[in-house]
Amino acid sequence: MAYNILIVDDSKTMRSVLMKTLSMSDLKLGEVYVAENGRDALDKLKEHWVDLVMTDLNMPEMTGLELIEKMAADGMLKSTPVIVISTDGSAERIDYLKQKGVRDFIRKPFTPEGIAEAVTKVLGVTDEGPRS
Amino acid sequence: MKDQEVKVKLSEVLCRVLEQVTFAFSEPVSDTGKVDPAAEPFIEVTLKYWGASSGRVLLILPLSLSRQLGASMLGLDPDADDSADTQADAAKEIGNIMTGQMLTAVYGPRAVFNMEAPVVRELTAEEFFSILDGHQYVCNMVEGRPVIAVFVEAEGVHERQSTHR
Repeated sequence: MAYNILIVDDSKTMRSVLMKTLSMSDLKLGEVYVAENGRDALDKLKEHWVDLVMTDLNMPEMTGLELIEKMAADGMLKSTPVIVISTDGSAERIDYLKQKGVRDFIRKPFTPEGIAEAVTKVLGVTDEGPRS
Repeated sequence: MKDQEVKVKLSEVLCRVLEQVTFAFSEPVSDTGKVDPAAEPFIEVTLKYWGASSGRVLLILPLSLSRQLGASMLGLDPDADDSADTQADAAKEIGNIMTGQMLTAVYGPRAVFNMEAPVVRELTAEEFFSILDGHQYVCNMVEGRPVIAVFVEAEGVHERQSTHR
């Protein structure tokens, strides 16, 4: 099974780094979509099937937190897993994000291994494929 | 945390972020006396923060070094994408990561902050010196070129690590 992933970050550089990191991992990727902010991400989520959202928090127009709250309130999107990748490392904010259903939190700067491990864990991927 | 301790933290964070994000090894220097901001264009990335405390963090570096560091982040030839947009974007992301790490180092892991999106502008030589005058800053050299981090707390705000743990 190939996974469709949506990367949400206002930095073109960071979107490119994440796309490259995912492409170098052993994950079976389908489409990798990108969005520049939360609003753009919601539009992409309406247009495409996405298995995992990887989002930054501090973005113009609509923040990652607003995106997560809107996804949680949407019957179609609330079950889509979200990983937050941010410079913000406050323990209180991480606790709050987990209460909102965020499945994992990765602090920038990250390692390729850290990204692959988190994505594998959240998608429930094993060597044989996705867990049932 | 005293001002000197803040400077030590700032230098440690700058070194670590440059190494982890851009794979560039940097060396702290005690002053910026040999830096000539008129010799080539310099840019400034500003990140305003508020929450447990408020202020701004500035990252100042030559435009050419920003292009080189951005290329390192992406594993590209530094001349592959020479657009001003790309050069500025890499500097913004380095500043963004540095600020997040800096706030945790100074105020502790439980302090909650919000940050504005980073803003980049080109600096004149006069502006370069006026920014450094009177503010806490550190300078690290990457292949002989400076990367300067400036930490500016809002006036009257002195709650640091001990009050936020």
